[in-house]
Amino acid sequence: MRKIILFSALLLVGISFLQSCKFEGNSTENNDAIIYLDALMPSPLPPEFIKNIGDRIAIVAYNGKLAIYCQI
Amino acid sequence: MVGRSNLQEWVKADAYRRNYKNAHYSTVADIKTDAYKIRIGDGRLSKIIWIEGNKIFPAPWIDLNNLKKNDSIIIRRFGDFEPHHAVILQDVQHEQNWALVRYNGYDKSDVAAYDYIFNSIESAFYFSIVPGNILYYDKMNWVMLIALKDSSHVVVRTANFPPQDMEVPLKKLQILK
Repeated sequence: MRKIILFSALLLVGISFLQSCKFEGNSTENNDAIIYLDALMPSPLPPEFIKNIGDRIAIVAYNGKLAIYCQI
Repeated sequence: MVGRSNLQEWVKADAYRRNYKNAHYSTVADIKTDAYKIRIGDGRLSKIIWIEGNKIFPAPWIDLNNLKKNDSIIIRRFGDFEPHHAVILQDVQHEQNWALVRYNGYDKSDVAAYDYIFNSIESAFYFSIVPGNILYYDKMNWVMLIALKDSSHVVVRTANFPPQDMEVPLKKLQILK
């Protein structure tokens, strides 16, 4: 019985020690989290830029779809 | 060009009359001049649409036509672990979708597609990007910056279908131009 109490006490001390040694670095799971949104946010307005025939551009269509490989 | 408020794609006036000859022309409420004829994609799956100028964004490879012989470039191909450095071997002609290049350290020339060629690759920082920028995400996918959330996270839109917005760490984004 005494051995069980002693073992339990040591186990508690060990767990407390491990909890007190929480590592805090720059890279944590929370910082790297990716959150998928349920709905699309409003599309941004494009910057003013000169468009010429043949230029390769990207568009955001009326349904919000982003197309990268486009040409005027 | 003509259009209606619920029009999904911009069409030329003559095409509108030809394809919608039974429609009442009185429904045409506005005439838009700020519309562009756009080809999306290449090859058999390409598609031509008309779209307003306020839906058009600069792509990362918009300056390809400015490349001249002996310019140093970076080639970033999908799946490459690291980008390659190369040199342009002849001026890029207007509307040319490729460039003749020579990789650093090799003698032979090669053809590189326009969407592999960049002038620089930089990490994205909070003050170096604005919504509407096309960025490279996680060294694999193109996304558009939709909003800056805070100093470490942003909202981006994927180029997949259906489009999806997601909040991602800023450190996973690169500026390729």
